[in-house]
Amino acid sequence: MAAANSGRNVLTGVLSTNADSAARRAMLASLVFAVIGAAATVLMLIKVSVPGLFDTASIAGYGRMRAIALNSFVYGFGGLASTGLAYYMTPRLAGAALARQRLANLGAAGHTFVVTIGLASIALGITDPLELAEFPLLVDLGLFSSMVIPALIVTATVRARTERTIYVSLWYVLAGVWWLPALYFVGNVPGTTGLGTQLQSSFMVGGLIGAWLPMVGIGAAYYVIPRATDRALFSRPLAQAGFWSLAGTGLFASVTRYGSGAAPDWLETTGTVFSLGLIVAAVATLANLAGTANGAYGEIRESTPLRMIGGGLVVYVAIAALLSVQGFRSIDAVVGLTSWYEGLILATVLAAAPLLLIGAMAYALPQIAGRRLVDGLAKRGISATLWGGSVTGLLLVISGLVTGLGWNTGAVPNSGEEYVRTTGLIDTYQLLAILSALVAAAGIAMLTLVILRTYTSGEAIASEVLVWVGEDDE
Amino acid sequence: MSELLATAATAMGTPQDLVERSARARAAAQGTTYEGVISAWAGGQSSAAAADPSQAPAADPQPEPDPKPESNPEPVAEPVTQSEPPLSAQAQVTAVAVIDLPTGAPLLEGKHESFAGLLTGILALLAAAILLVVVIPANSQGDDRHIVGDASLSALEDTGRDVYLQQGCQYCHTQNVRPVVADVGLGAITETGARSLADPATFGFQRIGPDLARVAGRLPEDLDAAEYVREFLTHPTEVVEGSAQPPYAHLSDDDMAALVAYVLALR
Repeated sequence: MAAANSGRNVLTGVLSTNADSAARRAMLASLVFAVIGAAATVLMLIKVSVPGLFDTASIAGYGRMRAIALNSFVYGFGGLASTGLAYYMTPRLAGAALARQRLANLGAAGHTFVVTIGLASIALGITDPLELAEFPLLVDLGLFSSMVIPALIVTATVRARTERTIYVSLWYVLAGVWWLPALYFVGNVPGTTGLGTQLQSSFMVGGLIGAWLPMVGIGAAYYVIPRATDRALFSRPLAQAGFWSLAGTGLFASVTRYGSGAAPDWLETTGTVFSLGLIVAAVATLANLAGTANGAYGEIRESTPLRMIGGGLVVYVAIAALLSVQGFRSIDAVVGLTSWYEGLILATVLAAAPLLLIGAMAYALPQIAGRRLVDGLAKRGISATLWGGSVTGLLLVISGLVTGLGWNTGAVPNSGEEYVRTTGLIDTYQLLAILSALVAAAGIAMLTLVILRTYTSGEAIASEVLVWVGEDDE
Repeated sequence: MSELLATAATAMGTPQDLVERSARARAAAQGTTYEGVISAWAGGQSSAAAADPSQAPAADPQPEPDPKPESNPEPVAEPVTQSEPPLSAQAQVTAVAVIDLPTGAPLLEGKHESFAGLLTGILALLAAAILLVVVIPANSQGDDRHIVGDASLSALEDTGRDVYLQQGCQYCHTQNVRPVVADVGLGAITETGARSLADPATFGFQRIGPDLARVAGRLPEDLDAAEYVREFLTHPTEVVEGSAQPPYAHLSDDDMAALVAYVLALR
């Protein structure tokens, strides 16, 4: 009887048409994947330093742990968090009810289910070999379908808008909901071979990490900061410069993932040039939001969402700068194929993305749920995530640089039995990275607890309800 | 009045306390009466019509302010205001801020922006990136520099490649020799026709272990290569002290034989 009632409740929830129900569910589900991703990241880093640990279990292999970690972070946490925030922000910015609330709920539930199945299939060794495209074909089809739903719903909602102005955060929301399924499709379309396969992979990975995740995080920042500080946006032209810089260069710069490779020289040059746009976008965004928040730094210090978003933006700018630098052939020749890029990925998923997206959730969910934020753990969670994630990324970036310089100068060999000298060179960095990743994982867990406690036991406060007032009032 | 409130709430599909709060806010904003707004919402009329005092409904049970006696010589210290009835206990717990979405003229007249233009720009950049970064270069393999390379694999070696991918070897090893100083000594440069770029791809993306594109050509010549590779994969730290290679002793004999055959084909 209890199980039947639970089943009915779940079905009722999935088919709900209540306002903000899909937003709430997607955001809450995303947090589970953030914790899974963080835990898998720690295990992954441990396996690098202690390769013999759990060596009889294939699931504990570095490759599987990495695949579980990144897929959980990007598609589970990033995909669901960005969807939930899009469903929250769009009606409020567009002045129109979210189109097809029930479909939105179904899509979010489907997304959660499919990613769970995908992670389980990776754990069982049923995977495809490409980075961030490890889910098997059936899961790919299901996940792509669930990614298309937010794009259609957000577009339909904005088309029906009553607001004349399309606000800055809505630009990012629109780009985010369309880019994710497009990148996923390109990265997973079968049948490519030769150079095409490598380009397909670099486009998707570089696009997701260097362009899409920043896109959805910045969109959330543009929504929360003006509202939470009650200040108008500093500069719309600067916002346009930042948006179109990221939109116009982020995807083109993705090819630098495999610099000095088999790609034509003109393509590598294109990647180098466009990668400079990443830092332009980052600086323009940071300047604009800092200008918006100017004079409200006291409020920022007191506000959990604002502190998180501020921390996330700073980390994002640093990542964008390093991604830009990596685009130069001379730099790539040193750091290419080392742990440098891995460090940038981990800084993104362990620090920038969680701080930006969970920070926005910390603003949105109390409004939806009518609960005061239970931020007892927030301060420690923010510090742990910010420093743990950033330091993890930095350590791997440094170890990549050290390795690359070692190979280039001949100080350490690049092959053979003496290769142990290469791994020995960076042992300390790898060990410290494990500790900092543990701190970051603890931080993400704490921030998750903050959100969950808020939702389940926060003090009741006035919540935001969108009430439609009809034409009778004219 | 409570009946009108209930009727209005039913008509709007909204809880009564929300409707009450919204009506009071609307009345204050429009300079009409709360009773007029509720009547309009309950009866489907414009709330603006409720501004006409002649259409005001019967007085609600709210207390009227005490009238000042005309003989009182003392000046009024503060304006008399009509007090609102306190919210019920339940309403206090569930009080909400009602936000009316604009349906009429907005307070701020913004420029009407083209959604079609924005979406077109976003999708056009996406399409351009896919074309420029993936499609065009992938199909430009007629360049003389990109010659077709590596020989095809035997059935056993092919099985070995599957084992290689299933065990996730491509996450720690690349098969991607680049024309850079760091890759000197790793063998011939990986070109577009290379086997490591073929589907399923084994080119990898980072080197926790060494590049394996031409590893068979670098094995010690005075040893049985197959036995050396097998022993290394089974007990790596016994063959190379301090090696970061994880042991694969859990592989079946057939899988190990296939993997060894594949590694020896990488030359």
